Amino acid sequence: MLLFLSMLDTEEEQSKFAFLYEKYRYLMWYVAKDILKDKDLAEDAVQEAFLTLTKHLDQIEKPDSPQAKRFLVTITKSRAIDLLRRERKAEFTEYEDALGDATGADDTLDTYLKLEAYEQLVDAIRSLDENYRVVLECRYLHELSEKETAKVLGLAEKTVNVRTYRARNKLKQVLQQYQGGNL
Amino acid sequence: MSLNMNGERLLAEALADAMNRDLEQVPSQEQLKQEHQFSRSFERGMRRLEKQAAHGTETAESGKVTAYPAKSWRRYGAWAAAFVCVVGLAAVAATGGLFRMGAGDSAAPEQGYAESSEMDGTADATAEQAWDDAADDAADEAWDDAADDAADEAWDDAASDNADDSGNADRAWQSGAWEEKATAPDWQEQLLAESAKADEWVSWSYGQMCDDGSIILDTTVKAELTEGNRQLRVSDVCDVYYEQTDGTWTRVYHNPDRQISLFNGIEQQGDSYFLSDLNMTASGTYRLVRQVNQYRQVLQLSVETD
Repeated sequence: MLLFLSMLDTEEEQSKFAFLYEKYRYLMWYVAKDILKDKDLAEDAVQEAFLTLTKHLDQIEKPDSPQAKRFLVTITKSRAIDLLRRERKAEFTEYEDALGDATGADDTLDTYLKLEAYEQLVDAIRSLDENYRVVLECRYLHELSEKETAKVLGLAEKTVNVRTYRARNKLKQVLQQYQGGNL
Repeated sequence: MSLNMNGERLLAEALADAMNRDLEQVPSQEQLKQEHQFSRSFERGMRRLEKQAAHGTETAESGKVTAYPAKSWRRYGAWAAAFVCVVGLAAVAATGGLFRMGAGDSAAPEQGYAESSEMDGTADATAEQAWDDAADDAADEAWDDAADDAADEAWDDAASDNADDSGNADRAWQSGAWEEKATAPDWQEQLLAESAKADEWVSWSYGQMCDDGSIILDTTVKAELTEGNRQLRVSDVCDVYYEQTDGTWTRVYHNPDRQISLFNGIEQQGDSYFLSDLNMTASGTYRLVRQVNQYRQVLQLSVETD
């Protein structure tokens, strides 16, 4: 763990990092292993996640908070997905020709986000591909800007834009099925 | 383009809930600690990142590394000396590696070098005796980093009851007794004898050189040991000896910490080292030594640099 402390500027950052490392490294490993199905690759993902964390420690105000835990989980999932792709064990196809549509999309997801359909929304989220889910988590759960999301996930901003759009569309499609198309 | 505020809040809550529900199935930290022990390569990777962060644009080391002699039990098959083109060693940062002990450490001269033994297909009766449960129990108790001297005595008792010729070797492993044993005329023979015993349980071989100049050393546990779920304790590289032109050996690296890896049912593991960390920066022949349960194990490598 000492290796990352040298990358942190203040004592406060170092102690925050040390706390997160001690508390969550096993959880992060488990999350990564769930995606990668490989203990060794999971370790690699955890390592990369901590490296990412050093660059975004300012996103965590209170290390011992549910928000911090969720942020770490999102980063870990993202690194695990990257490793999965690098290991060529999974392919995630994104249609680049739709890039232009993302900025002008008519967003009707709002109409499906109803309190009475909350459980359906949670189920719909859990059924999403992780590539889409982590983008939504960064944008809405962790309240990161498009630029910050791109940095955390290691993506281009435009890719974040497209994936956010596609993720919302996917959610909308699932919710449409749940709700029978009734608005 | 964005969702309205209520929509965003609802989505955020749902995302949090979805994640929390996924995490409900995660075992407790205590259970995870029992399920998984982070590997040495993970810890080394962490150290490597620290070096890169601390030293900025330090370039990778390079050098040719050859193991010898050929080991038939290596997982890569029969050895051929693979001479990688040498570009030269990059300057090592002034602070050096974590394990730099200085070139002043030296062991007493030793003649010649030992050939690594090949792993026989069957362990002899003495090795089987040494692999006795009583020795395992004593070994478990003895393996205490906070009490090396007492632990070494326990190793002696267990090992000498169950294995021939290991008592002297084990006493040599005690802190403080190292230098004394290293000067003994038969030190090399003792080391080789121990290494042969360790080789019957686990092979240790040169794997490959990585792009960053670090080398991977592979450990492969003998199948019957993993099947029998025997517990193996394997240390980091503890010492490195360098062969002088007159055939004597000088200790160029020493790590008294003796960090241990457990090999419970694990068949293979690779550990990475930077050559500079082990003070293997000059061309020549090196003998790396580590501990496997109560025995020392030797891996001999040849390094060529420009």
